[in-house]
Amino acid sequence: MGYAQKLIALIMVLLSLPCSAEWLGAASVAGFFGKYSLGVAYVGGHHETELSLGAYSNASRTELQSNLAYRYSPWIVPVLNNKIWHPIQVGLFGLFSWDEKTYFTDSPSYYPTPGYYDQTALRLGVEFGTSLLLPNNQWSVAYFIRVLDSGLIAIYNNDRKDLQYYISSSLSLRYHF
Amino acid sequence: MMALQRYSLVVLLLSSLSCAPFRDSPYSDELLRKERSLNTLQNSRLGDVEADGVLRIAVMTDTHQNYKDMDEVVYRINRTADVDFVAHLGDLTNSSYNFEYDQFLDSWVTLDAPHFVTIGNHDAVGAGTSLFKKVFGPSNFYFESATKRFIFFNSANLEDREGFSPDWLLEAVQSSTKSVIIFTHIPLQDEERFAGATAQTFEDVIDDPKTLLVLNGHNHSYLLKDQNGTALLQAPRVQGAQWLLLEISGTQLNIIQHNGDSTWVTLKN
Repeated sequence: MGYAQKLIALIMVLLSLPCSAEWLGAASVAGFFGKYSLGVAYVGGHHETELSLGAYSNASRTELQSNLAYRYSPWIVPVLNNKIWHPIQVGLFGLFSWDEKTYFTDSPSYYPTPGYYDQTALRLGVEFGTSLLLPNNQWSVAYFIRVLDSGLIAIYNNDRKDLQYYISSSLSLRYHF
Repeated sequence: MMALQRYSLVVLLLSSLSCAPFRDSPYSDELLRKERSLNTLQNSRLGDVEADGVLRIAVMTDTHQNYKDMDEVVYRINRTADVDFVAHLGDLTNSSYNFEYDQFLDSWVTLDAPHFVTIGNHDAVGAGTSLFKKVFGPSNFYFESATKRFIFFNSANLEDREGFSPDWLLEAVQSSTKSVIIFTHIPLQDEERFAGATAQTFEDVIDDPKTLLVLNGHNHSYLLKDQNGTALLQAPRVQGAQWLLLEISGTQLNIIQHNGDSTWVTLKN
């Protein structure tokens, strides 16, 4: 099954979820999700799942990646006029590049031995964020910090405290349907 | 009140972490660090490396993600007197992600002596060829001293088919009017990767009367061989803070390993 087909299947699964939950449209910048990314999120109580498509540049080509995130909000805080604030969201995310010529899930067969390289198309990570519903009840803004799995491994192996190259901020504007 | 304090703490924590840059994607060829065309830039820093009659070259290879060991090697090289230049024989990264290049540069640019990098196979997967070109410049290049031509050759034939050119290497050797030292990542006699006409071209390079020494990384362990008077030297990986110091005076090459072991080799005349 190609990458586009997998994405469509995942969207169909999300669409089959109960309509009583809240749906969001999200537009984000950075945060490893692409220079820009657009997606949908499904929010049910303390839980949120977001699926988005991001764009990035490589050798002057624009390429796409899909991003999937699950977030949990331990606290849901009513603020002024019953607006909702999620002070902290903690979560996991996965990234997947659609550029099959450049990134792979299995080491190509033309390399000397099977498994010559580790897969490069998929990356995982953890995120922390906060989001605030704006006064009009229709829009919210969110800020996330994400850390890649590669960074966590490198930091563990190297006794380094230097996070700067493995961590990214993201800003997201979300519309509540 | 307790809840408010808790929430305030959370906001404060997030704020304190907000020095995190806005990074687009690990798959892109965008870098946080600003260094560009480093190999070309370093060339302009070279003085007369043979002025005192001894050419001293520090060699490291296959950093991958052993950043702590690389820091140690950089520290030791910086404390070594009169190093003329430093050569990294490739595999600076594991998977050529942009953040790996950034992390490597974090240590690499702290070297005091002029420093040059050759591309490894791990540096040419993913966005690596674009990143390498951006940060270091062309993957095949050479520069000269009074009596030597130093050739840095891209041997990543399967990962960078566009940049891999055995004919370029042969031309660079044959056109030289000076003795030749070659720096590359994959051994030119690697039977897994090179066969047929390519293997023969590399044999011609090694056997050229001007070729004194061919250095490679890739296999992670120290190995010294001789082929018809050409020294073939494989450097050990940086893990364990391993590196080599080469001292060339006339036809005498002294190879000093990180543990102090020393081997003398007589080079071609």
